[in-house]
Amino acid sequence: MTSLAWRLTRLGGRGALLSTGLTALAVAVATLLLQFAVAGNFAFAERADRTEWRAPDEVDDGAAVIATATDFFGADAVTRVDLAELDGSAPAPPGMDSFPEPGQVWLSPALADLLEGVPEEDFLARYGGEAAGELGEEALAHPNELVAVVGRDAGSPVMTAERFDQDMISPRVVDGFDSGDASFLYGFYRVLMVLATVLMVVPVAIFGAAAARLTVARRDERLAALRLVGATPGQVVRLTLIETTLAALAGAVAGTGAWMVLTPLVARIPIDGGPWFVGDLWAGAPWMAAVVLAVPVLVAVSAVIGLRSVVISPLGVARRVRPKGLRAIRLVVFAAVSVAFLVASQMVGGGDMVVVAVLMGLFAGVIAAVNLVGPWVVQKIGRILARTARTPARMLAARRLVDDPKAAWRTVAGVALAGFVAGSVALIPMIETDTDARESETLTATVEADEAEALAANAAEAVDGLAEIEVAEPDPDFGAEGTAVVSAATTGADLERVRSLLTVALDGASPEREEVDEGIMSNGIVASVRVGVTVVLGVVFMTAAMSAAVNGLGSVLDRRKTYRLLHLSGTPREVLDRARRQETILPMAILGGGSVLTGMLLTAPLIGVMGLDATGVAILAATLAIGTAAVIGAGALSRPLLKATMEDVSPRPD
Amino acid sequence: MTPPMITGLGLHKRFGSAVALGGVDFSAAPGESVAVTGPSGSGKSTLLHCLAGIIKPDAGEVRLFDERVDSLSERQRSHLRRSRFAFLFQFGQLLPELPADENVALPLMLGGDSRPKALEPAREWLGRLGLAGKEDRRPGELSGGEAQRVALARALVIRPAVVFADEPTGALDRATGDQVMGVLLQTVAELNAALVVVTHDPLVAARCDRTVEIRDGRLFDHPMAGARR
Repeated sequence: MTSLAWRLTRLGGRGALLSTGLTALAVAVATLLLQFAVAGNFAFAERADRTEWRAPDEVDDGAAVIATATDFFGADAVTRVDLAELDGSAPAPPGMDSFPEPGQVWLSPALADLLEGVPEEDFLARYGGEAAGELGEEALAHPNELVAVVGRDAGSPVMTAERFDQDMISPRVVDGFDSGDASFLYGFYRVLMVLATVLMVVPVAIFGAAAARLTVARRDERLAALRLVGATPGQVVRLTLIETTLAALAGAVAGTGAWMVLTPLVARIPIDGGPWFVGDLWAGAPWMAAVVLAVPVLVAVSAVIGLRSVVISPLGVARRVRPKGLRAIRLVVFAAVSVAFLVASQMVGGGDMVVVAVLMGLFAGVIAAVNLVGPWVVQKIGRILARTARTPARMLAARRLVDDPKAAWRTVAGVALAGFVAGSVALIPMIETDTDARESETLTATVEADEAEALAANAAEAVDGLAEIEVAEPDPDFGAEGTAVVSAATTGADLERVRSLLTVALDGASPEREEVDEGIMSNGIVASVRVGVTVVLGVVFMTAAMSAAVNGLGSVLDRRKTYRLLHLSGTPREVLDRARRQETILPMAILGGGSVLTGMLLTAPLIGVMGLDATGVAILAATLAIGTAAVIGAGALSRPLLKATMEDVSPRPD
Repeated sequence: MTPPMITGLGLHKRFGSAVALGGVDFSAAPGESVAVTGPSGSGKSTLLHCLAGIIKPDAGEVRLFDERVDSLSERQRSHLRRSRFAFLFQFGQLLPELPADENVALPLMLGGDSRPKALEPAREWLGRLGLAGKEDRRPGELSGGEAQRVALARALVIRPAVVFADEPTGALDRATGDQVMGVLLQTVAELNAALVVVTHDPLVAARCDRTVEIRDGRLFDHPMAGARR
């Protein structure tokens, strides 16, 4: 059976080879993007894992004391890990040869570069030690991470004083660094990556399924001929399945190969301020194989669904009857899922993983529902246009939309989904805080209330007139019970020096610039989200352009006979080109706009309406411009084929 | 004798090394119907394509009245095929997604007529060919004979000078084929157009005014000239 299928493919002529090749190519691209999405999740997990050693589990009787803080320097945030040995049996932390002695400071390579030429009093003085070594990769989330490990004496107040900022760990006794909690930031990034995966995988899956049916559609006549010579429906299904699955397998392998080749490039996408270790992108390698096997299976399933209409009759060529109206139930489902998402997003209390999972599921559901309502809208648009069309091109385009709304939708689905994605993220505020030093600066640090006065006196002595030290009550809303705030008013020029003096005087507390340093963290997240959005939109657009190209070529192949006869009877090719362009552009204009709005409406309640900022407008404008250009360009790809098809009047056995 | 409407003189055409036409003279007068017969691969369709300006002959000339057809540009020939010639094929020339009336109106709209203006004669022709009440049907909802009559209406709606038919009844049963052929001959005669029919079917050929046969790229007047009707 397999050899017969192979023979049929090879002998099927250029058309058969072309459509089989298109299927393989489409599946290859889909697989490449899938591998990317899968690897992305593993890569974030790898990064998160490498931050675990900084928050090991607390034990009663351990070998070392650990505490962490975030120090700020200019526009950068540095993760500080304070370590002190208790009984001489503490293991070396990841990325270090030995446990740091008191007074030793180990810097990550990126931090060492950053501090090149920076006077010691501006930064290193904070740690009261000498640079003793460079941290290895195992200690870092990514190559550009800024980390300092500081060896302390277990008796020093730095290793006993409580730390009050959110992302700090107060001194705790541990017996090693093998297990712990990942940085909360990476927990957040992993959720975003899941969201990005949903946004990318759904269009890719739709595209892959459409590609699977390409081969099937092209087979109509030959399948009917097979039925005519007595092949059973089962045999015909099997033959086609073998052919499609083989093409899909070839595509899946090729796509995975392309992904492997591309990993070093993908590794350069900066998230959280740094590129990736290439190894992180290979962390999901076992799953790579799973994807290679799963893709052809999914393609086969999609092909079977596509085959249902074909195998019934030996007379094959499906006769065109009045196009079935798509039922309004599609609209109802879409509305229901959207409302469910809106309601669920309102009920979210905490950042519970289960709630997040449910929300993500519903969000995926909304995207799938967009795919359900799309063809229905296309058909409605077609009906309206068919009634009002004045030119033959418009009439042809409109009738085609009514006749096969699903095919038209497949061509524009990518752009519509991209519009939905762009609309969803356009409202995410992307405000960046200005981190330049101002003329006068105020630094604040949170300390225990009982010791505030003593520490402030310490600090005043240390800064020696460079800053005004004051003690204040904590913020009534956010400040923790039993704390006080020590503040230092100074000038922009002395900022980092005062900060260094304060860090030492306040027992390792990390002084922050008011209203600025809290923005550094969110700046990092905003930058990462922006990169992520760009990547997701890039993937979705690539899918959109590919599906427009593949569907354009497919529709020419599907209708080659009609096109040839139209040419014979003098139909100008420009009219057909115009009709084919309108078939895509008309629904794209309406659905593209509609999906941008839907995306906005759905996410607005979730993130709060902040209005459109410049970035949002830029994303939207880019979406529309690139999307339109991509689809028109992709459609133009099939024009030479249309020309060749129309003008092919060489003698043929019909 | 009336001057010929469509003329081919000394037509040569080869595909690779295969000679499809080896010096063919052909003509048809207004109101005349000519059947072109011959074995498979003899060059029947090539002759039709040359006469209709679909392909250019390697040598020889084609004239519609006094106008050279073969030397026109592709654009001009397309326009000619749209405005002066009409085509009828075995099947498949109707656009499956268009209802019958729009299929018929399409050539008029391509010629620049507005939609309402094009639909009016289209429906009239459908009515004339016995398809009143089926204007809304799509080709898939029509029987083979009905679909072929829609194709005929589409061919005739532009009031062509020459109708080219390639096995117009090939996909129909005998009774339906007879009926379509009858309508074709009658309406072409009413329009005083020339009809060129490529066919295998001796019964179809017999209903035309004249029969010519192509063998190995050469044209022979058929010994038994068909007696009309």
